[in-house]
Amino acid sequence: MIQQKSLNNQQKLYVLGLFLITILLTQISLPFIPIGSLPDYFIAWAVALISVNNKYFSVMKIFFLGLVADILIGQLIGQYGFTFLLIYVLHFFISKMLAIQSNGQKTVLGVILVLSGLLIDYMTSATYEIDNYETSALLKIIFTIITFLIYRLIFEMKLKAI
Amino acid sequence: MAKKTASKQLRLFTQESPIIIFVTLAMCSIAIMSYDYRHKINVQLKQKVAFVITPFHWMVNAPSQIIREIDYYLSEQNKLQQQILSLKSEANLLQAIQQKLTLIENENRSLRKILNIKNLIKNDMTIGEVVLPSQTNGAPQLLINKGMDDGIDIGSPVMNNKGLVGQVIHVNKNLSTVQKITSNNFAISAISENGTMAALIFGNGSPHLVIYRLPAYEKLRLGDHLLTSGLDQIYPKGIKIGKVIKIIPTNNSQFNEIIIEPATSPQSFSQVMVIKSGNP
Repeated sequence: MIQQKSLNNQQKLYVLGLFLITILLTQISLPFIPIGSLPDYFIAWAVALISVNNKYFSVMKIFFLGLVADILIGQLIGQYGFTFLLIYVLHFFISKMLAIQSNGQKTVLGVILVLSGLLIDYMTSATYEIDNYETSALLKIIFTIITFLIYRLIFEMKLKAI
Repeated sequence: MAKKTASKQLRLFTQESPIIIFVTLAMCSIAIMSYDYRHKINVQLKQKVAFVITPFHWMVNAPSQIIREIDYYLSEQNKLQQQILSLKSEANLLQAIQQKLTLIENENRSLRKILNIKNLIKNDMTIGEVVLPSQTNGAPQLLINKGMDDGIDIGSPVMNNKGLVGQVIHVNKNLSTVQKITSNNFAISAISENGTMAALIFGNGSPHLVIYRLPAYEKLRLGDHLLTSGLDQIYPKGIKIGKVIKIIPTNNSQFNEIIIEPATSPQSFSQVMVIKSGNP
């Protein structure tokens, strides 16, 4: 059983604050990125949160946050919930099977989780509006990975420092 | 030591393991997704929780709104007065044209009555402004500041002065989401300007529209404009869709693929007209 640690109020505030910022980011179209290539901020947020330390968050909480994201900005209820859940499970199993200790290993694991998240998101897409061009899909992956790294940096600074 | 490792490896599959909760939640989410896909509960829920997303829309719009207002206040009065004058003269001109149109419309109505033809178009429209953002969670779409309160329904056609923009797919109290004609699987029944050719035009997610299989005998040339046919009972007849920019021969020599440039592009407008439903 995963031993859950509880977050203090300030840490909870950071996680919630970043969740709200993520909602805001999903509503902004950046002029220098084509719309089809915009990063999936929620997947980046979830992977960063899970990969920094999943002991802070139980699978239920992650699933619930996924459902909230679905209700607010998702296509289908349960889509992000399902994606977050599988990311959590993947992280759980990989961490159990492999000794992920160094920072580099954790980053590679995060990138794998981001790719898996995007793949699950595409597979569960209700509109099948998958990007037509390979370049825009590739850019989306790259931007999501960059967003994940930024989120991870913030989580590492804030969740571990407090 | 070996005993310890063995017990650690097996922990996942023991009663302590969270595998049951993973499977249960995964099944739950798949069930929810299927139920939502069939019954569209997400749309209803989104309408109810629109007040949560509205502040985010407001925040996204705030900078451009503030810049626009500052720009407005800083504009020279003289320039504004000149604009007012030119707008007034334009309005006068339009009023004169409208009088003429009213006359023609009345004449048309009476002629239709005589000929017993049903009125196809009623121009019951509402003008909406495009609200930022132009995308939500990566999916390109238009948000307009008109909703149920303004008589907009799901399915209402949206156009502007240049041509057809799309169709309303979600309606909240004061906001509507418009699916653009270039979206994937968007289909419109169209005719050529001279009315000799009818075809179905599709959006495929790219910036252009496409007619996949047009019989080669149809005389369609580069630069020809295509209009809505009105046959679909959704879009009124005669709205400009776009112009032909490429004719590509297919493997089957009897058909051509036609690439169409839409008459409207998302960057070219900030206002749209929504034709209220029930008025095709």
